Amino acid sequence: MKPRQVFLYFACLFTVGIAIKTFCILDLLYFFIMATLGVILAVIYWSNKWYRYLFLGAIFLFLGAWRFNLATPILDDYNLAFYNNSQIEFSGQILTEPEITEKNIKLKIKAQELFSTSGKKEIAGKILVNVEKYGLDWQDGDNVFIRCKIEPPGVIKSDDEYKKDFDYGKYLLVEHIRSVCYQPLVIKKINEQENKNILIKINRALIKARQKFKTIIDTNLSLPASGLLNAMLLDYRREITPELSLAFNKTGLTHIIAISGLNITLIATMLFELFVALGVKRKKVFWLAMLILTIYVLMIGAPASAARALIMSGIFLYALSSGRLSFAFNALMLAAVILLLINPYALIYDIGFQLSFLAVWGLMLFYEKISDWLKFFPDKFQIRSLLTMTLAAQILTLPVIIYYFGRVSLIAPVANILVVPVLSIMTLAGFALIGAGLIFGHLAFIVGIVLHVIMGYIIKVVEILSLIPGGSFTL
Amino acid sequence: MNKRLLITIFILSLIVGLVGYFYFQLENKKQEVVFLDVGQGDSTLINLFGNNEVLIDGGPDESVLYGLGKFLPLYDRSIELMIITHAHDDHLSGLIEVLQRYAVKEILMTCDDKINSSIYNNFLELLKIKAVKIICAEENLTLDLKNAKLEIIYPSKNCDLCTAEPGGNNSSLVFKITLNNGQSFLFTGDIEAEAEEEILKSIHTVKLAADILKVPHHGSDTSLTEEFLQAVKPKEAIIFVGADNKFGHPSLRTIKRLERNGVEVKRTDLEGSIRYNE
Repeated sequence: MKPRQVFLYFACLFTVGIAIKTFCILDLLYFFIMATLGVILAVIYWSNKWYRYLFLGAIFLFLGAWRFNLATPILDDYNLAFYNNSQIEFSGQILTEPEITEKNIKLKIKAQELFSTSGKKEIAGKILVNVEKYGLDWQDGDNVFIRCKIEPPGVIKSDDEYKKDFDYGKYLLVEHIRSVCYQPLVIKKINEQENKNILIKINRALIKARQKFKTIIDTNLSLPASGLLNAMLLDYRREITPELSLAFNKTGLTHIIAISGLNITLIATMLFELFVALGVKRKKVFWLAMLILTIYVLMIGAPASAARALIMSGIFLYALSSGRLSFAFNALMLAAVILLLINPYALIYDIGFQLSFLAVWGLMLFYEKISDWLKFFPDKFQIRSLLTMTLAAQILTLPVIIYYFGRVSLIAPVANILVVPVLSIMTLAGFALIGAGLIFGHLAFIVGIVLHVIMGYIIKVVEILSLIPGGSFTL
Repeated sequence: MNKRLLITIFILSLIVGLVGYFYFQLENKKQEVVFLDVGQGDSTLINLFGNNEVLIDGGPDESVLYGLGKFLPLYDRSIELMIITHAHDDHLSGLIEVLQRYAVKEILMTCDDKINSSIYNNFLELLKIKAVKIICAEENLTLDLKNAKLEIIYPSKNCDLCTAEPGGNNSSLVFKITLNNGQSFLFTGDIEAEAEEEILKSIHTVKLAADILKVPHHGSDTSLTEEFLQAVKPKEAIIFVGADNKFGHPSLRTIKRLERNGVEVKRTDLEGSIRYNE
């Protein structure tokens, strides 16, 4: 057995450990007994390489289960989730940038103190609170007092009988949110104090920058173009109407409206070329680009998905440049293990995690083959490599997408070929717009008109293709 | 840089410039009134010659932005005059979204300092930040909109109905806009029977007559009395209403009344945005 294979075997068992623990409440004790047995057997059969590794694997099974156990809090009366389905009063802090949706604003709040007739006590747990859209300004870091009948998040029934219901509870569990408050009876800010923590200050500044960028896009483009650009560059996904979202779904293009490996890779390659053109030394270019990308990822503030995209596309770019695509699976597995160590809930509940893992794996398996097929495309502005990436990434993700969303898009390859080639010029123009908006408003206005045409093209293609009968069907 | 690239860039910019010029000319000549489909709420865009836009109310949410995106020319990021009829969410909220994204030059509103709601305060704050010039509505005030005229009909200075509920339905701004071609529109906000009676008492009916009536309060049965309708004598009536709204608007009685008077009824829930252009 080569070290490469040993690592792969152990990593898989670690993952399996998490999976078992997610699905059933098999006590950690059994995993521990198994691991102990494994070590004893491994010592006995130490001379046989195969048996040695086979039995040692039990340790990693146990480690996976243990990690999951550590991430699962005990839901006793010191946790907010204990009070689900009852009316309570508590205080907490807004954790992330408030999410403005069509109808309301969603606040993710970390509970701090619970108030009851017997006094107050400290509690743990996170909750999602819906508040009125207009009137009050909410910011991350604000301390709030809430009176509300809190509930466990349920399954949202789909209006469309062919569409699968959306399990909101599982979705929120990825972020360790176990309670929701749909209509707070009282919500008000309390004792606003200047936060001295430097990390929180940096985070604030990044959120401010993101909001400023959004304002530039909003004031230079109109909806729906601005909504689409906000989603693609800054990960503000809520300004895309349900109809347009469905059209993207039908044409198999949903992947472009989320910050995914594709966007990050696109920006990375652009940064590479920009720095090379500016005369920066090749060696420094990689790190400079990575630094900017990291700041960007922090700014768009979707830590889990964006960080994942960064790690995954970093691995792919590295593998591509070193020309060892098929061997990069170990690196991918390592990234997966690291991400699961950070959040073991991602394995089963986070669709994004599953999709990005499969997308990168698909890239590794099929990139070169598809690249050969698409030789006839020009590679100006990375058109060919982008297209290859999109198609290769979709091969393994397709079954998962069908499982979760129940829709197969037959028109997807056509849609991708028509839309993906303009993405690089769109990204370039989008950042040019933001840059121009920061310096000189009238310049941004001109770039805005160019962008209008590009966004208009994307939207029209998606709308027209989604209307073609038989272009997609639901299962 | 080689010659071919330079020539391509030159030709491309020439084409873009020409197309842009003709587009500008074309848009500049357009004049229309659009009753925007914003769901359960009011919003009307009046696009006058020379890129002179008037926006009356903003609907309940960001739907108005899709309307503006569709009906305003690409290069136009300004609203010359904004009008808010009264302080209810389904007229006001969308205007907050508009203020954040478009350059609004002036606003016409009833300057009632007794209105107290968090949304309205938020709105006033935004007006201050964006340095929008405020025009306070007064009875009989006439505004020259260049190519159109705006006459304010209601509320009067000492309006008891307004003090009864500041910013409420019966404090709605009522006004008539007459385009240069003679076509006239009566905007009524959300006034109810009491305010209509008040108007009929104080104003000569000739002043009320209009070709197109914005039916008050989403066609609710508490509004549009027979007397008021006969004074306005519209040819067509617009009802701003969202499909399957929880209020049961518009009322069947109101629609019947309009039909009996020979008025053609148009509804935003059935027809989407309704356009009047020459």
